[in-house]
Amino acid sequence: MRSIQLIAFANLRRRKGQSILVGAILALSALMLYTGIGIFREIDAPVHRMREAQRASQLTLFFDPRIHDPDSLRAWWLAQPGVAAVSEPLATIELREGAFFKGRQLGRFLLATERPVTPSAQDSIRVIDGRASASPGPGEVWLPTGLAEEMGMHAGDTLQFPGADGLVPLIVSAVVVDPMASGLFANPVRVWVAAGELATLMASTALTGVMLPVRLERGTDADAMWDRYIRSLGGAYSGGLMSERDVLSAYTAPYALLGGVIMAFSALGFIVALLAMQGTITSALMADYKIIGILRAQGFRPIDVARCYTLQYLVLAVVAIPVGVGAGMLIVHQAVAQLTKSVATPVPIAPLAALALLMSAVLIGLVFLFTARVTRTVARVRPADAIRFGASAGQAAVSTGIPLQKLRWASVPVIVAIKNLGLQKRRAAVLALAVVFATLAAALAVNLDYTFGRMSTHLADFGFDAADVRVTRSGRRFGLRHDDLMQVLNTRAAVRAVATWGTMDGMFTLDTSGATRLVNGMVVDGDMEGLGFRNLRGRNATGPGEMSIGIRTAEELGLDLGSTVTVQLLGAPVVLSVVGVYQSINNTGHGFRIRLESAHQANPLWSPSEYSVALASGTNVERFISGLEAEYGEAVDAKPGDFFIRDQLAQIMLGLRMTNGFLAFVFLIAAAVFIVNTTLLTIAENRQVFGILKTTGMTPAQLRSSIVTGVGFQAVGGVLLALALWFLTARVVLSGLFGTVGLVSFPLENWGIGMAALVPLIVVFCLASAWWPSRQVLAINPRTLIVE
Amino acid sequence: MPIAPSGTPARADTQPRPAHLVHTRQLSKVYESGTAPVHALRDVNLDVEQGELLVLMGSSGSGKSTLLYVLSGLEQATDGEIHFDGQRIDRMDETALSMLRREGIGFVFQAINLIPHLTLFENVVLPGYLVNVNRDEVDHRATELMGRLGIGALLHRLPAQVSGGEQQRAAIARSMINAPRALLADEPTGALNSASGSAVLEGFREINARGQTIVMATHDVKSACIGDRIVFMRDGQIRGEYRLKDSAVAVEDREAAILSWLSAQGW
Repeated sequence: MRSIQLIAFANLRRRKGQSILVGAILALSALMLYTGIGIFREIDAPVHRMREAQRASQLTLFFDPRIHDPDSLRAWWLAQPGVAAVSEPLATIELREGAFFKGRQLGRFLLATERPVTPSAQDSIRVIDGRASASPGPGEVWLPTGLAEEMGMHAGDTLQFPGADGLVPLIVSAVVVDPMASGLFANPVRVWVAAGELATLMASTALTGVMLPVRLERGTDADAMWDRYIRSLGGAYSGGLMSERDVLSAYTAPYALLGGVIMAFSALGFIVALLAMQGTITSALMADYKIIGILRAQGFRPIDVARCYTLQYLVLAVVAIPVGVGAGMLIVHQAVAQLTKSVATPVPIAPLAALALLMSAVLIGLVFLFTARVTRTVARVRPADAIRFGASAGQAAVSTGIPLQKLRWASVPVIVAIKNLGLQKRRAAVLALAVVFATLAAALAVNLDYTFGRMSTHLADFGFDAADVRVTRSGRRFGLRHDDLMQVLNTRAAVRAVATWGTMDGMFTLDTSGATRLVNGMVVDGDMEGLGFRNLRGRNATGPGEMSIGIRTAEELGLDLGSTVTVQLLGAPVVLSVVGVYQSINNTGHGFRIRLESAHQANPLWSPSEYSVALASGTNVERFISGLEAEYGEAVDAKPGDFFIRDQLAQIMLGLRMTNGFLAFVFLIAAAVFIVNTTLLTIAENRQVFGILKTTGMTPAQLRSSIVTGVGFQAVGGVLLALALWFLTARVVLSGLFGTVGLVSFPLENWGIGMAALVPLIVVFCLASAWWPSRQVLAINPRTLIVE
Repeated sequence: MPIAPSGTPARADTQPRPAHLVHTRQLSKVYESGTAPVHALRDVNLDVEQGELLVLMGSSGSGKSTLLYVLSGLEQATDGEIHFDGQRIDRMDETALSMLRREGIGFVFQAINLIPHLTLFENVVLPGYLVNVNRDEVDHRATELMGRLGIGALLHRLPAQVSGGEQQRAAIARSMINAPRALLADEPTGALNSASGSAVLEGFREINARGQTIVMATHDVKSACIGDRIVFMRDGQIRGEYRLKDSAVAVEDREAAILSWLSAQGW
C-alpha cells in the first residue's frame, strides 16, 4: 500500500499543472451542483422556521360577518380535534385603491387589518425596526418586511393610506416579520393598524371583512380539515381562504424555480467534468505506458497499478470536491439569507453542512467508481513491449479517418488541427459539449432576460390581459356607477376595447366525497377578446354557465374542455361548463374566468370594480390617464397597464437575471478551464509531434495557431449545435420548467441580435482560452526527439 | 529534378555562392545543468563543402549530435559563429530559424520521428505544403522521392505498419521534400537492423550522387564508409579529419582503413 501511495503522490507532483486543472473542474462542478440542490432544497427552510417559531396559522379565512357569524365559525374550529388555536376574528379590509409612499404608488394592494389589543401567541409578530409594542397606536401602521424592503420604507416614514376621505398619512411605527405577509410576492399584503382604527379611516359601509386565522397541530391536516369544514356547511361557504401553500409560494416559488434551473444545468456540468477526467486519466496512462511496464516488471499486479492512478485521482477529488462544495455552501447560505431577508431569520449552517458532507461523500464516491473503471485498461499493458516501445505498444496503427487529400485546400496549421481532432475524437466531442453547455447557459440568460424585459408588450402571453390602462372605481364623496364608467370608457375615441373585472373565490367540489378546493378567479364583463384574454385550448366564456379555467386548476381538479362542475360562488351553487383552458403566471396557473352573468346567478348585485382598457394605436397612455383623472377626479384611479410588472415582478426578474447571469458565467468559466486543460494535455501528449513539426519548419505562430484552430473548430461546432438545440428544444424545456408557475406554453422570445452576437463572442472567448496555454508549445525543445 | 521551393530565398540568385555551404568559427555549446556545466562543443571550426557527404564520428558524448542540432538551429550556440549558405544563423530568432529549417536544412533523426497518425505520404508532403502552395507539385515530388528511395508502394501505410528501414527512408524523403541545401542526419541507422540500415545508406548514397550535401553523425564504421570525408570528435572538439574521397583506398577496403585511422585517433 505504501508503494502505491508513493507512486500516486509522485504522479501528483509530476503533473502539478494538470492536477490543478482537473481539481479546478471537479471543484467548479461540485460548487454548481451544490448551489442548485442547496437553493432548491433550502430556500423554504427559513420561512418554515420563522412560521413555526411565530406559530403561524395554516388556514386563514376571509369572509363577510354579515354572511357568516365569526363567533360561530371560531367555535366550530376550536371544537375540531387537531386545531391548536384559533385567533379572535380580526377586522380587515382589502384596499383596491393605491397607497403612496413619497409620491410613488405601492405596487401591491393592502389588506388593512386591526391588531387585537392583546394579541395571542398565534401568528406572533416580530418587530425588527421601530418601536416594539403589542400593536400600532392610533395614526400608525405596521408594515411587513417584504413590502417595506420593496418600497425602501423604514420606521418613521409616512404612508399615504387610501382612506374614506382621500389619502390619510399614517406613521410607520414598525416594520415587522409577519408570518402571513412578509413574502416579497404576497399580494394583497397585510398591514396592521390599531384596534378600531378602520372605523376612523373608512366608511362604515366598507367595513365588511373579517379574517379568522386557524393554527393546526399538524400543517399536513390543512386540506382534510378544510374539506371537513366545507362539508359541515353543506358547501355554502361565501368567502376566501389563504392556505399555507399560498403563503409559502409568496415567499419563494420563483426562487425554487431558479434553483431547479441551476440544478439541471449543474448536473450536466458534473457529467462534463467526469468526461474531462476520463480523458485526462486515459492520456496519463498513455503517457506513462513505459513507467507502467517498469512497475509491472518489478512485480506490481495490474490491480496495484490501477490503484496508483485511482488513488491519485481520488486524492484530487478528496481535496477539490469539498472545496467546491464548501464554496457552494457559502454561496447558498448567502443566497438563501438574501432571498429570504424578509423573514429576518438566521439561516443555520448545520443543515447546509449536513448536505455538504453528504454531497461530498457521494461525489467523491462517484469519482472513485468512475476512476476505478477507467484505470482497468492498465491490465492490457504488456510490460516488455511497454518498456521498449512506450504507448505505441498498446496501440494498433491509428488512422485519423480524414485523408490529407481531402484537406489539401487548407494551410498546414489547419491540416494539423483537423488531423489532431480526428485523432482525439472523444476529447474533441467532450470539449465541444462543454461549449454547448456554456452557449446554452448564455442563450438562456440572453433570451429569458429579453422575454421578460418585453413582458409589458406581451402581457396576454403571460396570462394577463393586454390592457394599456387599468382603471379602478374609487371615490368616497362622489363616484361613478359601473354602468356609467363603462359608458364613459366605451364612448371615448381613444379606447379600442374595455373589459371590467373583479376577483371572486369559487369553491370547487372535487368529487362525491365532498373534498373541495377554493380557487380565486376573475369575473369579467366586456370585450375579453379585444383585451387579449387568451386560452391554450378552447375559448373565453361568452355567456352564463361557461368558464375557462387555469391550467394548474384544470390539472389538479381533473377538468378539461366539456367538463361540467358546480362551483360555490358567494355561497350559492352555480353550474359551469369548461369552455376554455388558459395559462397564467398570475396565481401560478390557478384560477377561473367567468362572465358577469354567471356571478349574477349567485348575487345579482355584485359588480366589478376594475377596468382594463386597450387604447387605439398611437394613443399616449400617460395623456389618456391624466385626461381621465382630470375629468373624473377621485372617482377613478387609473394606472398604466403594466404597473404591477414594474413593481412586483421587478424582484422576480432581477432574481432571474442574476441567476441566469451566474449560470452563464460559471459555465463559461468551466468551458475555459476545460479548454485550458485540454490544450495543455494535447501539448503534453504530443510533445514529440510538435517537436517534429518544429524541426520541419513550422514557425512558433503556426504551431500555436494549429492548436487554437482546433479549439476554434470545436467551439464553432459546439456553438452551432447549441443554437440548433436551443431553437429546437428551448420552448419545450422552458415550458416544462415554468409550467410549475403556470406557464405551460412558455412565451419565449429569442433576441436575434443577442443570439447572433453569441456566436462570435463565445468562439472568441474559447480561442482566447486556448491561446494563453498554447504558448507552452513554444517551450518544446526538439531535444526530446533525440535518443541519447 | 529538384523543385525549387517557393518563398523568398535567403540570398539573391545573382550573388556568388560561398565556397563552403556551412562554415563555423569557434563554435561552442555549454549546457548549464546540475552542479557543473557541460561543454558539449568547444571552439569547433568546421567547413562543409557543397555536395559533400561529411561524416561526423565519435563515441557517445563526443558532441557530434549536438553539433548537428546547433548547425540546424534546433539548439542555440553558446558562443561562436555559424554561417550557412553565406548567412550568419547563430543569432537568428525562432521564426527565422523555422524558415531556415523549412527551406534550407533537412533533418533525419535516429529515432525516425515520423508523426504516427499520418501516413508515410502525408508525413512527407506536410513540410512541402508549408513552402509550396502548389499542392500538386508537392505531391508529385513526394511520390518521386519515395519511389527513388524504394518505398513507392507504401505511400498510404501508417508508420506502425512498415519496417524501421522503410520508416527511415520516409523520413529521408520528408527531409528532402523542399530540396534543402543541406541534409543533416543524426545516427540514421542507429535504430535499424543491418538490412534496413544498408537500404538507408544506399538511399543517402543515391541522393548524394545527385549533388545533395549531407552531414551525417554516426558511430558505425560501416555507415561511415559512404562518406567523402570523416571528422572525428572527442570531448566536444574536432580531433582529426580523414578524406576518403581523396584517398586511394578501394571501396571494399574502406572499412578497415577507417578503423585503422580511428584507432590512431585514440577511439
